[in-house]
Amino acid sequence: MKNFKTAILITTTLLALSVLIYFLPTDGLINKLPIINRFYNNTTLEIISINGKAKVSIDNVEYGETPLTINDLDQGEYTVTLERISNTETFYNKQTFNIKLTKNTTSRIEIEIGPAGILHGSILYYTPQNNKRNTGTLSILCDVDTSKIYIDDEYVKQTPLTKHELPVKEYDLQIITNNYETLDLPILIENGYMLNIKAYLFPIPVNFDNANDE
Amino acid sequence: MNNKNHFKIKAQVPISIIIHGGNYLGYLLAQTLVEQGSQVVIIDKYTNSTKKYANQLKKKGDVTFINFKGAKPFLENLGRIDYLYYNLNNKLEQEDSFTSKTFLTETDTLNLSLKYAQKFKAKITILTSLRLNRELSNTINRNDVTQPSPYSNIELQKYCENLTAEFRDQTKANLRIIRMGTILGNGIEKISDPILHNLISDGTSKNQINIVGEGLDIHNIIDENDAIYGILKLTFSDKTRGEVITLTNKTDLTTLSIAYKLLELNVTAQTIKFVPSKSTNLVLQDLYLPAPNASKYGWKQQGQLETTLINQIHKYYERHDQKWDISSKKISQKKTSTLEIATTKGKIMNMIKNIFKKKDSGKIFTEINYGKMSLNLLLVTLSFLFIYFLLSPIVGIGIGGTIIASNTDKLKANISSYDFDEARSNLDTIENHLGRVKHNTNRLNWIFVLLNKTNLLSEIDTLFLGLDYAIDSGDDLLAGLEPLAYYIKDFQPAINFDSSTPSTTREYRDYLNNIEENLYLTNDGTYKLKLANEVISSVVVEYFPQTFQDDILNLKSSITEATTSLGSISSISNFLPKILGNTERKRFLILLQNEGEIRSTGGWISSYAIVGIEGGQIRELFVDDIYNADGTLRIQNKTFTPPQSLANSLEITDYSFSLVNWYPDLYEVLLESETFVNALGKGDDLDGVITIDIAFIQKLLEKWDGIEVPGESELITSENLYSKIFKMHEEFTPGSTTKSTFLANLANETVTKILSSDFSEYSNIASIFEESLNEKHLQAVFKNNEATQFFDDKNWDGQLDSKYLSAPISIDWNWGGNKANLYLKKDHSLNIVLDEKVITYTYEINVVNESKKDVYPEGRYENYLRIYIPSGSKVLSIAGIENNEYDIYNENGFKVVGGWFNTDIQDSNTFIIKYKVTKSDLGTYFPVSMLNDNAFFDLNIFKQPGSKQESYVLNILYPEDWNILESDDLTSISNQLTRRFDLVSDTQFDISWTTL
Repeated sequence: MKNFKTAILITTTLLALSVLIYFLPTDGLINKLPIINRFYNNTTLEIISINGKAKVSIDNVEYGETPLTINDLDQGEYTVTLERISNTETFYNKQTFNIKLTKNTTSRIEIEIGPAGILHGSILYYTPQNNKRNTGTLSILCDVDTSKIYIDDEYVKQTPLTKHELPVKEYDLQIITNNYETLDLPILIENGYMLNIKAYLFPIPVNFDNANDE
Repeated sequence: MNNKNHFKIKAQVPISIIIHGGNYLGYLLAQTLVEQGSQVVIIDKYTNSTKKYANQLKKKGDVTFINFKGAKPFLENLGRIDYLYYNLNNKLEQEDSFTSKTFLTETDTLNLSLKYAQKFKAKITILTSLRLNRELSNTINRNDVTQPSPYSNIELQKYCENLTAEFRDQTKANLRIIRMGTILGNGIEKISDPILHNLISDGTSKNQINIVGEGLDIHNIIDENDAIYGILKLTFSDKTRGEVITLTNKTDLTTLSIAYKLLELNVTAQTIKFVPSKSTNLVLQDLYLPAPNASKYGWKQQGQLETTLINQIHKYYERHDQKWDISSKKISQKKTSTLEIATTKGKIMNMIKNIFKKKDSGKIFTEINYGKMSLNLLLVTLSFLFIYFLLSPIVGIGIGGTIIASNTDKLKANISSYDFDEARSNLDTIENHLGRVKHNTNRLNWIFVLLNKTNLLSEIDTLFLGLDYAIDSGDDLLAGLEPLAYYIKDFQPAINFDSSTPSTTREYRDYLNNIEENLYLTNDGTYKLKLANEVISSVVVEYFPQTFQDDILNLKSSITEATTSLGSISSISNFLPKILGNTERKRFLILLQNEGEIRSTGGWISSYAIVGIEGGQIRELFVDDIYNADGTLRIQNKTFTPPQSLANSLEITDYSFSLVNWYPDLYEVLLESETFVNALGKGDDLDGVITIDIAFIQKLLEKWDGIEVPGESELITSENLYSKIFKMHEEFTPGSTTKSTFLANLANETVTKILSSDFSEYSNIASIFEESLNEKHLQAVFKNNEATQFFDDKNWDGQLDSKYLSAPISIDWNWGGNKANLYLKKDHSLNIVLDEKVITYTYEINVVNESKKDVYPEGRYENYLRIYIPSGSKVLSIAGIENNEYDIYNENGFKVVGGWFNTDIQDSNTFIIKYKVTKSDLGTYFPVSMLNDNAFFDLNIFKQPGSKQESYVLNILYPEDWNILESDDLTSISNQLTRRFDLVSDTQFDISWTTL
């Protein structure tokens, strides 16, 4: 009887501990510790607007004008608003993007804001991912579906590309589709992370010369 | 008792002699020495008191008791002495004064003992009384104090100490004199200090404690254990050689302070009584300076005064056969600490020991059990590992899974009931617990590795990634689409098709503005959902245990379904606020087409409606029969010039509203319609045109199992809809409102039913909308770029743009005034031979007219066929056009081949066209593109709006040295791709090759 009670007591204790561990917010506690939290806040956000300057707000807080590099934000998701600085008020729309910051990585917004909400460029950020040794993962989504993806001049597949494993190193990425400007950017694949890219392609203006051929 | 013959000296065993060792102190000392492995000889008088201790000691080990009478010969014949303890204190405590004989005998014994001990270079310790030395000092320092008698114990001690000192001076013996404080403890039956004895006796047996005098005389006490420890330590230390040492607690105590302590300990006595002293020996000021304390030589007091006193009090109560009812609270047992070695390392060890020492242990000396400690440490570590890496993850996954499942159900319910705050809370909970489940699964990784299930681990990881994206998207979509959901929920039309009088002034501008403001969230959410779908779709279900496979398949299909529907909804959000007039009124033309009589954009235009929307509310609505419009314009003598191709093809000069859909490009129809709408006085311009085929309404009626239409005696269903329209068509006379009223009422009921549907019904209707849009029974084109882009991406906009240059487009125009298309069977065959520079097309259309009679709605199929091909293409041959009379002209960026392609009732007909396109002629519009070592061919086959399900055979022949990379479900045989399919919607094939 005593052994039975002891067994119940031990089982209950083990289960209680297991439940406690499940509900214990370890990350939440650790990233509030004075010195360790620096490791958690070690993030970089680069914002570049091509062919023009833009006012930058992050979560409704103004941060200045592009180009901008912001360090030491807490890791998490942020809402970045870019407002192209122009004399024509209504020509360029305010653009809002959500971007994730992950500790020890750099997230990057490199965008050209065109008229009527047309964009060209990329949003790039890393998220943690279990990878095999010396490999990383790449995901690409493009605003023009079925655009062709080339990595170091090798055709990979059409967009979207998800969870594509690559050896850790720097690559040259090209996203190409007919009637749109090609997007060309260097990327760095890192072990333990997935590189998320959202690409925006700029439509090439229509050339009417061919219509008069006949 | 002569033990001479029995005593055997053992080699390597030290021999300790204790003279006057027959008291309790001697007993304790002997016991400790025996425990330490010494042979002990006690020399004392053999009395009842000493006999008791001797018997106890014999049981414990190698102890020999020698009576004083036999001491001398024993010592003479003893082969070795290592330690000599001369417990003079015992002798001094027994009597206050001695006879001269006793005095001399004692001094002789001491002298003799010292000599024998010195003979063997033994370590010698003489134990004397601190109390007597203090009394001696006081008699010397004060003249008023009575001098002791010559043979008193004070004098004996003085003499013996002097004798010892002289002996030391002469022999340099390893000798020390230890003056002992008054020993207390639970083995002391009678305290040697008479004042203390009286004090405790009074305290334990009387109601009051009598103190003689002021009670300021000083007492030095020591615990019995401390005394033994001190004697041994001082004897063994060479530093004490030739020294006189005081062995007692450092604190001096007055009689009064001890009395108070007794009262504090709640002894029998409750008060203190001061009794005047008759003696002149009482000391007012003690000037005694004791010899250096034993602590100087490393001895440390262990016993606390209170504990020692309590033990002593217990003994006194025992003597009186009484029990001491002391409250445990009264005993403050201060924790003792054992200093292992007085070094830094020792202190560290002491700290470690303290951690593992039982807190309630009364033991002064506690040993560390390193084995047990290690075992406990190992056990704790193993338990932690077991919990953290096995039990906790399994329990956690169970808890997390349950919470996630429960919140997923709640989430669905809350979205259905438009409780978005609660839905967000559900989503947060799901996100939180999904993260925890993921962490817990990571902690089980070792099991997967151990069981060689790394593939499963990888798939689980992929699944989590997909779910992460899905939940992230859920957050954004909830916030982004909330205003749209509320708009759908709260919308009430101000005008219906029956009446153009507004029934409500309510607008929904705020909803629309919110949709626009949250657009970035909607788009971001859609993006993430697409990623989630891609990732989750890539999960290999077979790696999972059978139990979970169905769940994962369900998850896959759910996420795909959600991606499709939510993707569309979020795309719509991009332009919906503008289309619904959040800034200005938007006007749209709705054309109701009957595809039984096929025309370019779907069918003969039966009725039309103009809808004006502002602030999300219908502010203007007009519906009429197309013949009424034509009649009105004719009466008003308003004439219009037909497009050249229409005039040439149909040989007409009058252009009417009913022919406005001559162009197959719906955007052209929109522009053409503006002229007629303006002429009818219904506004200057239009923002969009929407075509609705009867087939779409039929699908809705089928879903709803019919609908009641005011003025109709029977339920209108998908089956009887056509017969109703045919009947009205036959009975129609210009100016009659019968047909338009029926169609208006039908449209009104349909729109009302759609808008009054809840979310779950909406999903059913949405599928009909989507299906009809895909099948082109429903089309819409807008002047708003984003809206048109959205519809164009899905091929719902009815525009002929450059993407259709890759395949011929066939457009039928039924000009027979019947509904022969309802009785047609049609199939297509397209053969393509391509390389990187030239593509040759051979396109064949076969038509079978199954009309049995030439009576409305059946009849001969009089069809003006137009084939749209790239403007730069070269026509190689044409066959099947009536009388081989065809026109070729360029229109809207295409080359058009047109001619009559009629089919009699119960007959069939075939049309064939062969043409080629070259890269040099088409430039960037050439359908085959080359990039590095790859070739791409994006083939888009256009389905004419309003056409039925038609069979299509596709064959593609490509160069033999090309290797197929992506065939997009086409069957690949040698260097040929082939497929037979039903052309129910625009069909796209993305094919790629490697050309290495």
